[in-house]
Amino acid sequence: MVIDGKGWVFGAWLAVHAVVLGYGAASGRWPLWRMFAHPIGERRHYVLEARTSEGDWEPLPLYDLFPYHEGFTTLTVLDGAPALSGRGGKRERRALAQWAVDTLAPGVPYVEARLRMEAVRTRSGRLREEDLGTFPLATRDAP
Amino acid sequence: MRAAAVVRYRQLLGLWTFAFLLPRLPWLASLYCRPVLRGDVLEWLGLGPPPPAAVAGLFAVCLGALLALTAGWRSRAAWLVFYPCFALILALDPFSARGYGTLALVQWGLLWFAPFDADPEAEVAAWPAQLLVLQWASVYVLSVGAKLSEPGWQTGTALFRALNSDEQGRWLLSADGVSQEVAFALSVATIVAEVGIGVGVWFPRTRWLAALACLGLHAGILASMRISPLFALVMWLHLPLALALPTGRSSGILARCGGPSLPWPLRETPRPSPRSGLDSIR
Repeated sequence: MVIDGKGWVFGAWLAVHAVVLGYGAASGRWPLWRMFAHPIGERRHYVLEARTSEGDWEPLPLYDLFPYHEGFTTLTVLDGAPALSGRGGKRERRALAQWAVDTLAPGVPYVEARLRMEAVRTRSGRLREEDLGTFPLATRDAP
Repeated sequence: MRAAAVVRYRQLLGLWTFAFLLPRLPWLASLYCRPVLRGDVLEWLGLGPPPPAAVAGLFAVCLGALLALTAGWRSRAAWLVFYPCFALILALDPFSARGYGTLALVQWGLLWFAPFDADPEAEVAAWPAQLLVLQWASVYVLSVGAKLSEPGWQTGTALFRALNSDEQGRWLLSADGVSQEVAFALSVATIVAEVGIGVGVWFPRTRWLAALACLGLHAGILASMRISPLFALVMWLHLPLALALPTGRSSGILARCGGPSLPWPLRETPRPSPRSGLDSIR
């Protein structure tokens, strides 16, 4: 197999793809280009709330911390974050809640924060809510 | 083949990369210096967020080298500066999972093997261009595998969801929504088009059809889905290179791999007429 004497380049290309595809087959997830193979069937919105010492939950403008939209679309970092949309990611969510409250409400003595996802199903229009965790906040200094 | 096609590809990919990187400039600190929801590489290495000045410097060097590379000023040396910077930016990027960014990184890497700094009029080996087109075509073929492995694409439900969602669909042609039947027909057409592009580009007789299918597929997506135009552009910018590949019988990858020669309808060389055969006997 000779392609202008560079058959090894094509061979290496094929070998890399074979390894990646084999890895994907073993892990049960298509490893390479998917191009909308699995569009989600709902519109997701993430909500951050913080609880005061009196027990009231107050919403905080989480999306203000993620002003960049990817590739001239409406997608923010939140929309593509595996820690929010996939299973697990509890440590990342806790860190996100702590950092977001620290940044959005510095010095406000909130006790804990919680993250929620509100998703509207495309087909039925039904609202689905998912609790992404409630996290106690570390003691914070006033600015 | 003439080097002009590779030089033009380098310029188009360079312009595309500017369109990819420049919108990030106002948001560098927000994107790259945040301590949470960062790129996987920093998490994996256990490193903290980089200082804003370092990220700004990284972008300045990367964009400067990209400018030189696109314009053709010491482009081989510029590539050596640009490529590690671009790879690092994508590694730090929380959007690194975006397929078109990864494809651009792969193509810039493969472009190193190509004579992108040659005299445009020079005759050069075709294999680097074939490799670039092979990578591009494989995106279509492999994504068909991904789609067929999803039940949603076998029934049209995946496209039905995408086209009817406020986030991805209900845009221009799909503004009023689409039915399940239309979504199913579009699913079949998409899969046929993707196979046609990925395979058809290798045969001289179907190359133009594959290019038209590529134009139509992405124009249709742009006109019905709220997705990034960067995706369509990075796929379209490969068409001039694909159309410039040598079309001779012995130039295709299949032939050079020592595989079976193409059947007559796919060859460029005309079938000899019986009369000319008789003439040669006489």
